[in-house]
Amino acid sequence: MRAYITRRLLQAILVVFVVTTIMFFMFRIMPADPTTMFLEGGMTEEARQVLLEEWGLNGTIWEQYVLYMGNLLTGDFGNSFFYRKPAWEVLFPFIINTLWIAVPGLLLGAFIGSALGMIVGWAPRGGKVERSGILLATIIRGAPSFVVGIGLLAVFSSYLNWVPGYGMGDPQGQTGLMRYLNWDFAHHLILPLCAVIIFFIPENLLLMRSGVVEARTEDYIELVRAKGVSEKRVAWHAGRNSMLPLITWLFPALAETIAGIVVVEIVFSWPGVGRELVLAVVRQDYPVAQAAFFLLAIMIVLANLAADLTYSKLDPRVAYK
Amino acid sequence: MSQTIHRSVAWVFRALLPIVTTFRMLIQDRFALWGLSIFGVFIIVAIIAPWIAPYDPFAPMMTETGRLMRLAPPSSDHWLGTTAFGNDVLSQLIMGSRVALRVGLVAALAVGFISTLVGVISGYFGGIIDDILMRMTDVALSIPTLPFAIVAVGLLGPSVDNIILVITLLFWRNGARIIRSVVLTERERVFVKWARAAGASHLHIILKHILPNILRVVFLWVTMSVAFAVLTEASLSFLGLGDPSITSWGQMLNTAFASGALRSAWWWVAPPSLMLIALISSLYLIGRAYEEQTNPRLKDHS
Amino acid sequence: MSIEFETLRGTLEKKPPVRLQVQDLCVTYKSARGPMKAISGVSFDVEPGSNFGLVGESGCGKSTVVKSLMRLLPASATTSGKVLLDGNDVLAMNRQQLSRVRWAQIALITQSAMNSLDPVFTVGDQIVESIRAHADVKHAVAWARAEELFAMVGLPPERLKEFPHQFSGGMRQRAVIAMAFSLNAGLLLADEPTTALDPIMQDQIMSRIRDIQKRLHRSMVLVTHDIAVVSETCERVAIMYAGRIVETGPTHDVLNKAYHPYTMGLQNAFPKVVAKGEKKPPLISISGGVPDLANPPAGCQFAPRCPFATAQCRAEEPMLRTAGNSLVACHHMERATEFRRAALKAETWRVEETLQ
Repeated sequence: MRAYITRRLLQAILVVFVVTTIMFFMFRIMPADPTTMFLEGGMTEEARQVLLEEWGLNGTIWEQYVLYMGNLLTGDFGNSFFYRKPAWEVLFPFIINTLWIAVPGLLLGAFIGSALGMIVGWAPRGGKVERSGILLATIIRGAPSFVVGIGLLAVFSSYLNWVPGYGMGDPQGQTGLMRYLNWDFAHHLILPLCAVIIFFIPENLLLMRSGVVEARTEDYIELVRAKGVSEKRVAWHAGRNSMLPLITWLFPALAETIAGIVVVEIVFSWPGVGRELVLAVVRQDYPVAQAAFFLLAIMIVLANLAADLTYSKLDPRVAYK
Repeated sequence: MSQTIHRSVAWVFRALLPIVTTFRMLIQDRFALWGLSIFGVFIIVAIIAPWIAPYDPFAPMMTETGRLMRLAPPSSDHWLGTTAFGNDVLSQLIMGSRVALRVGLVAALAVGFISTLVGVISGYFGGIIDDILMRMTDVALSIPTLPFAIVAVGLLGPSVDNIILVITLLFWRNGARIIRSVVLTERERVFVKWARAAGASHLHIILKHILPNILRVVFLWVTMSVAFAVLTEASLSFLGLGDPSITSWGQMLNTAFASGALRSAWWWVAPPSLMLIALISSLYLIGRAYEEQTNPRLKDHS
Repeated sequence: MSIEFETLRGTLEKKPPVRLQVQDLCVTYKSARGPMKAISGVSFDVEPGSNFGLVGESGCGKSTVVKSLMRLLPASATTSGKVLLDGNDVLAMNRQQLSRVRWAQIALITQSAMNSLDPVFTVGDQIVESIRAHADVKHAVAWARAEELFAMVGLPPERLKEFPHQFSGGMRQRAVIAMAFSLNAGLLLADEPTTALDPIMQDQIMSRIRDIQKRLHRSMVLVTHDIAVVSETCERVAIMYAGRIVETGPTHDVLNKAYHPYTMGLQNAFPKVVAKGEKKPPLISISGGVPDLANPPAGCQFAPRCPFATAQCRAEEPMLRTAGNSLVACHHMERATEFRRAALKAETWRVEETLQ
């Protein structure tokens, strides 16, 4: 088991390395010359060199690459062109904000989605519950997350005026954990969190439903039913078995689902990594964009790792060698 | 010469056959029929868009008194009202279908082509080629989709062609995986082994035995890719990274959202939202029905 | 706890075997090609504490009969007739009554133990689940019962904590048997309990079932295609063909003095145990296959494959009539002696292959 985790970790590190490399060269090769974009005119050559050095933009591209990767290892993502401070310092608070909507959103979405999927999957084939469940899930799945976000915003914020639709509130001098543990924050959190949950529900529902439909024809389901346990308990056996394919599908799909969170952050002006990434690209603040991208890639790699480990907990047949 | 033509015609026919049967299978499913009809309507609208759009989507509409028609509610002249810049919403909506479908179809065909190429080479030849291609796919699978698209379009510049390129770069990976696994099964079929034993060339085996049998999966993947591409284009446009010289639904929403029209001008916000939901869902409905029909374990036994 | 366990054991031990009466059971499946009559008018009685064999080729409907006794058929099947457990009709029960009867009164040993156990629960938990669904006892009490059951089928109790995939095929089958006895149900349905196993394991499992039966005296319906197993285990037997019983009676009579040509053909297809020095008869298979139940032939269902079929057989469906100690559905059972002699010859059956 430990050897397995080590191997998977090494793989993950390799993947992160390759992704970072691709990213580095994209940023360095594509724009004509970053210095002409960021250096104010009328700057002396000495001052320019100083700035270039500060940003790690002097020397050949290979030297820059080695320098950049070396700095990454020490946790140095370079300095933001826009904020004029280390990119990591800029991003750190945004990471926490993103996690606030991403993690509960994913968990609740997966939970609600798979619970509904179990109901739809266990409903009589070709019946009303099954047909309407599938149709609704497919339509919601087809709704881009910014459309869902705009809809929520229009109804609950603009029209009903129940919840604020912008930002995450004013911490008013609160520091540490107390920034988040207050009613104002929760009030602001509701809508974006709902958008993320809605985003995750349909995929989970449809996958769980397929799993249950497949499982209900299995021999062991027949035997469980023969034992005279309640129908709910029979459905639980089918559902428990369907969690396995769900996990194998869900986590790798995270690369795609992170997209939904970025858009939700924009719609609700939620100051998260995704929103900051978009802003950094618009501001051409490459160190921050690179760092944000790097963090999102790490999140995906970690999620995949988590998927593998969870799978071993759920499926006793998996043995690690 | 004529024989080669004859042969290639026969190959095309054989290749099309699974698609025809797929189509016939799909129209038996009520949901898929809806999906196909909605998708069909979108295609027709996109083709005849310039003739049915009542106004130029970028032309500012003026009132009789010569003032700009800002945020005019729906009327007989402007069925879906006007935008904050006085543009006709209906015209933008109709022209927007062109962008969505152009990006969707071109990107999906490119994705289908690359996934098939990688999947077939990887699955058919196996060994070290397979290893290298699959490790590449692993890395590609760890790239967060939309962030990559945001960065890439930001660097390359916002144009429809760049958006198509970025979408293609993103979505070949999942398709390659799926197609590879189908090729792996096909490769082990008896007739493939016979053909190999009989000394048939690899190209011949791939074209004649493998490709026709995986076309259904490719077809499914292309269908799903249209949906992903439309979604990605809409998201990028919504984020303000779309092609500024054209009108797309995502862009309409971006302008509406940015100009704070959410509360006041439902006619500007709702139509593009509904178009996106309808188009993407119709493709998902087709894909779902296809999965349901081809997976024997999902088939209704009762 | 031990008092609770003794109480549970006491109530279980006191359970009497059940009398099963199946009357005019019919099962029809909806299929794409129209209704398919899988079972037509099957009737038989199982005396309390006796073993009843249900024999036939695969596809003859014997498993369908077993499933319909527990109402495990899919929604596409409609069932009519009566299945009486000590006089109570299973087919007429509501959901609640049904779940109370399942496992407490009728338990099932399934066909393929490979897939019969849920892969994500431990074997012990699955046995405990069956006990606690019917007896209001603590987990530990049910677990103690499971340990006892494992010992009964010859499995070490500590393996209760393992998952099905950690068991070999034979062990899984034993676990399934242990589970079937968990509530000491009055009636056991054994649906080809040894099909998935190798011959040596088949023997072991069958003798294990017989041993347990000798001690516990449950009523049992044993479904199999293996005539040898039936002759060793069952007092009475019914031969099924195309969803109908074609011959039924005491096992000894049916196997030694068959009246139906199908029974004769079936016997030919199995190796016989013969006295020393005697010549082994060749194995003869019946050519052809079971009829299409969505579109059954007129008259006797076996007529298309029967070497003795006449015009009457192809026109009129035979009813069950008394012949000796048995009931037989054949128009020509008076000519049984003549048939028996002819049936021994391979050429009668338009032989396709002769083994040995």
